[in-house]
Amino acid sequence: METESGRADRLEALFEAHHGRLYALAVRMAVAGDDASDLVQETFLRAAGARRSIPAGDAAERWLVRVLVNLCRDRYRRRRYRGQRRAELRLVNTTRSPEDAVSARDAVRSALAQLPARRRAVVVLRELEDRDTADIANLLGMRPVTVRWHLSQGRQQLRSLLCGEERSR
Amino acid sequence: MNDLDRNSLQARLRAGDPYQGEDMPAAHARRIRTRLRAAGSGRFERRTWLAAAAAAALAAVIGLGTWAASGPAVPREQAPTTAGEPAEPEARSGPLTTAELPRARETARVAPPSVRRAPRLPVATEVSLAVPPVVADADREPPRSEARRIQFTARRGTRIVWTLDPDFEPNTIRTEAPTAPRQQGANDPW
Repeated sequence: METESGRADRLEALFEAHHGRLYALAVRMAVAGDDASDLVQETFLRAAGARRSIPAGDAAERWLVRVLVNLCRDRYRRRRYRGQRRAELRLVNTTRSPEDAVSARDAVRSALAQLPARRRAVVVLRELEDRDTADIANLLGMRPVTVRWHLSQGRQQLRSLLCGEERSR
Repeated sequence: MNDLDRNSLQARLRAGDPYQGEDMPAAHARRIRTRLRAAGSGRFERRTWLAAAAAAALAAVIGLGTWAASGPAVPREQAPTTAGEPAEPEARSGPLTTAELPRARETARVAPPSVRRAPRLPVATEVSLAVPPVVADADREPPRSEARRIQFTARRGTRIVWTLDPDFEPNTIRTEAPTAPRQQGANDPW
């Protein structure tokens, strides 16, 4: 039987080990209006609520990444339902200063936000974190062929979104 | 359409990478640690259980209170009676049987204030005397002169007893309509 202090220690150890990595992923996965810190907090609170189902060792990271991606997916669905995607698209098209790094970040963030959460996760892990297909499949619990399909579709969407933005300027 | 090849796309994405290597703000990390410590020590669980137990107790109290206020289904024999009045069986609209006749006469003796106020005592006496002592006849209608009572229990346990005036006759005399709203009911003997 796990004691209270043992449970708290394990959660803290998980947090210390993975929060930096999860925060980076959360910043990249977050869309307008999301706070990466909130996403990380939500992820760890879910872990606290379901600590018996958290696997030990390296599998814990996979578990946490999946929780984070699922959280992003929930938020993406809610946002899509509310029609906020159109507002975000307008935000992209009104960016006036492409040289500015902040504008570039906004453009990429807005383009990523158009992708469904799992596809966004695949693209972020592959293009920004240099993970290979097998690793991504392992992390997200997908088959490698599904990862490749999401990657192909995601790249196509991003190209059209980013080029469309350039043409609109 | 797809002007960006794969490498250009990757370069473009990396140039605009939303994550610039910054750490999570220390205040946020502290807040999450604190919450995790509380969650790990079971404080949240205890609070959840306490809230659930309190909600259950509150629901039980409200349920019992509602049940008590609306009046439980008390058997007629145990139902409380009013002001020394004997417990009466529920009045019915069908014909009276022999067994019921004495009770019906008892009922006639206890008249509500409205009946007592009305100067109809001679008639009532005559009525109780006129009740035939026997003869059970299923088709027999209750004598016109017998006062009948209808009693029932309202939602909150209030017992309502109506005593029907045996000599009631509908008023066929047309009276003038009141001239002003405030006079409405002024001539009403009730």
